Amino acid sequence: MRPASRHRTPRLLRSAGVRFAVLYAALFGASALALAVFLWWATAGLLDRQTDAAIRADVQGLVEQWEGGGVKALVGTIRERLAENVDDDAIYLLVDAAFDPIAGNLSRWPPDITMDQQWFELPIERPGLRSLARIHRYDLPGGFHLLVGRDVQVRAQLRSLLTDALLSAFIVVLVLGIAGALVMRGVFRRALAAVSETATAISAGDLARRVPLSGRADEFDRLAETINDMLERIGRLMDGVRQVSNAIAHDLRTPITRARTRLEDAALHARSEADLRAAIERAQADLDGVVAVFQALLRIAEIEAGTRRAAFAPFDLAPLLTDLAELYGAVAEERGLRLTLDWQPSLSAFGDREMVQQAVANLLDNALKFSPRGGCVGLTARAGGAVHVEVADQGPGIPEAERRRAPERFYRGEAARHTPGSGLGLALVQAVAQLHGGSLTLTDNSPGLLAVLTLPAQTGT
Amino acid sequence: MAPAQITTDTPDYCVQLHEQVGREVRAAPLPPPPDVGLLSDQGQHMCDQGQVRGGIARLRRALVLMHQVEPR
Repeated sequence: MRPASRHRTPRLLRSAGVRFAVLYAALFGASALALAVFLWWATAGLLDRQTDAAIRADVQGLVEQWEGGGVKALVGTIRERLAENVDDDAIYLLVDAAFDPIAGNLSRWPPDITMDQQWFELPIERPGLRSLARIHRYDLPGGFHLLVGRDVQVRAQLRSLLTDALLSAFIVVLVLGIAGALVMRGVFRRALAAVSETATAISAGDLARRVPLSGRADEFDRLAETINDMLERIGRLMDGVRQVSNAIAHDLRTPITRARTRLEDAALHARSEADLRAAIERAQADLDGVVAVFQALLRIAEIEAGTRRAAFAPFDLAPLLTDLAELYGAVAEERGLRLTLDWQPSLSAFGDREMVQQAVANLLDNALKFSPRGGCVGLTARAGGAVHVEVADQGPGIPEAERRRAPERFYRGEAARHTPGSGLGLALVQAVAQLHGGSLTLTDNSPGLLAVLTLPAQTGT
Repeated sequence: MAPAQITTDTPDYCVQLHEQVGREVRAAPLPPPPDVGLLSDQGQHMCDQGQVRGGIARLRRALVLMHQVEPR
């Protein structure tokens, strides 16, 4: 289903490459703007601030003169400051209540200056040129008014030059931003093209295709490696599904065919009701075996789904092992085997007691099934961080090359070909171990097989 | 309305400053720095030549020099 927002997104921005490029250009432009603002603040802004500070200090000094000596002192100070104004930028004007000039170097009161304590920027006229002044108005008691300012024409020219330079820089930034954005878009597209082509090929059926690596070991290479690992895992899972499907078809065909043949034979050749009943019972036993396989498969699927994890609880493994030892001790005796036992009186474990019991029973069942008459089967358990349940037999064992595959569904080793079983026992043990966050390890018992079921210590979470 | 004019860019102000420098030199208890006389003469000369702002600038420097020698 398409996201609803897609209809609102402009067509051009639907391309991730374009969005990436726009983001790049925006970041580049923002950086350039920040630099321009700082430049302005540190040059033209600094001069403006200095001018304002100088005017404020000037006003403060003149007001003090006024407060100390009245109009006469103020007029003297203004004249003195004008006489010493080497920079030739000072502007003063003291007027009376009728706005007639008393002192200063401005020819008349500018009509635009109407409010007290305000800043004004006004044009002024000097011989042969028009200039710009920044002026502050201050009203004095008795109806007198004072203007103090500076000629800021040079600063205005500097500001104009700076503005021109920044505008030129803006054009350069714009061009570089667009060019950089296009380059970034190209890089982005090239990097994703390999992934896109691989995905297209796989969706077209070429499951062996993998994303090529550039060899630069960068983020895109790591992404490609992750995708390739994912594809490998999907491939293995699909192989597993295919294998299980084939195994189900193969393993179930035999008992079903046998049951059919028995029933057909009985229908054609049975001479008595007892013959028919016997054939039906044998067919029923065959079909029970089929049902058992399906139940085991469903059980493994249920365990792997993890739905029973919510029912995990602490339990003592020792009595569970004792029950199993009693149950399988009789079987071992019947088969001429010796069952050796060794565990502590109490073994704290956490999980599904019933599943763990089923898993250990499967291991014992396998060990008893494959051990030769007169042999010994060991059931031991120890706790140390995790709980380890070990089942050792003296049977043919599993070759090292096949041990990794042994817990797969329907896997049956060469030695097990002629032994009854469905090939699901170890698969269930593995599923139980994984559900509990533990593991199933198969090693050589020299002779025989040592299966170790490891369950982690109680986490309670 | 035309902008207000700066009244200290005029030859009259130049003359006014030159006279002020002369008055302060005469009233000074110590001989002024030699640059004062030089700047004053140059300023007067430039004002006479029509370079009023340049002349005024020199006369102002002369006054600043005088005030540095005789702080009031």
